Amino acid sequence: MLAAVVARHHADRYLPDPPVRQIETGPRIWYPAGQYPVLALPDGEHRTVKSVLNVRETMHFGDYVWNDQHVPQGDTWVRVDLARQLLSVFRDGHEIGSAVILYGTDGKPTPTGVFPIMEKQVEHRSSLYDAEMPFMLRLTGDGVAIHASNVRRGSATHGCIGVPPSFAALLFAAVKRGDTVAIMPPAGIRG
Amino acid sequence: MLPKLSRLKIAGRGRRLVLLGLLAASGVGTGYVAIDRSEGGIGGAKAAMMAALADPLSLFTDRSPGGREPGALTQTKGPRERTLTQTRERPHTTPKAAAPVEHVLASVRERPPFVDEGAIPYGQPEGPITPDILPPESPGPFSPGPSPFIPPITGSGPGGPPVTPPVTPPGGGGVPEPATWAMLMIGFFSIGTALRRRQRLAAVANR
Repeated sequence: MLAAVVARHHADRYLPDPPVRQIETGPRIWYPAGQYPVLALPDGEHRTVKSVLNVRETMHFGDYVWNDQHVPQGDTWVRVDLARQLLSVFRDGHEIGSAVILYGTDGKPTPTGVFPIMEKQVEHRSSLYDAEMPFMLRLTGDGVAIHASNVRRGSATHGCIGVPPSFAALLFAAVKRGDTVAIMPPAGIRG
Repeated sequence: MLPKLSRLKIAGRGRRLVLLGLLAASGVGTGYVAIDRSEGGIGGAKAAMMAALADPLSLFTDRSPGGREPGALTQTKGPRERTLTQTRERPHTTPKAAAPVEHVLASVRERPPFVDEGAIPYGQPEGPITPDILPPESPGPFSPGPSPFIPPITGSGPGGPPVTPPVTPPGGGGVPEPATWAMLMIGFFSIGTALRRRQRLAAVANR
């Protein structure tokens, strides 16, 4: 009986909540073949972009968009833009999702660079902060990860990247271990 | 929904490309950009084309909630905040060499020159100078003369008992007299009644 209650409680906790509000998106912006723009990664690599989501308004904290219709399977990578406080997921060069993120403060900054996803955990409890971190995608050996958190203005993390819980579930399902996560430096730091 | 041309932040060559794109979208040429079949049209194609010709980073900037200032969420004081921030800026005044400002005293106090009325000029004695010689008087009580009886201060006379001076403790006694106690109590009671009376009067006045 007690186990059933606990299990249901856990299921409730990890059930992705619906998005806070509906973001108005237009038709996907396809770049013409042969004129694909490139995005530079912190390690000097360049990745071509075939299409991006057409978000027609400014996203606020807690907002995200996700649209992977008609996008073929392929190499998935995640671009985290600390300067714009945005995360974008690309599959085969097409952007399939974007969300506003939280990142670390100046005292505990989020590392920048290119990281492979080391570990995936749907249910994870941080041993460092004794806190639940659902849909954890571990990036570094010292605990920096992408995980679900309450994304709201004025909040920050201890170096992790926080995304809305339902977006975290979608992202968790879209990436696999070894996929690339590129974290671009925040504003004020050029390098 | 059309993004402004100025928002696209593109150089002259890019602007030419935008014009070409507009021509293409209006049906003159072939489109640069294919549009999702679900919705769209000429207007949507224009908007999508103009956005597509821009950098994807500018699209990210458009949807971004904005960057976070360095130190925006830091709880501790930064070194920049330790400096004096409220410096008083005095307006910089340049001296006007052409027209010097003439300061005129508003009220000038006129005072007649000092004349000492009672001054006695040297060498002109007004009256007879009284001599400074005091007349001889009777000797005062402390004047040398036949001294009265001075009792011996200490010591013992020959054959008398030893006289010890009375020992008086400095600062008075430790226990006050009953009259002093009574005065102290009366004083405290009078202060207390005065304060209570004042409070009561103030309460009545405020009612």
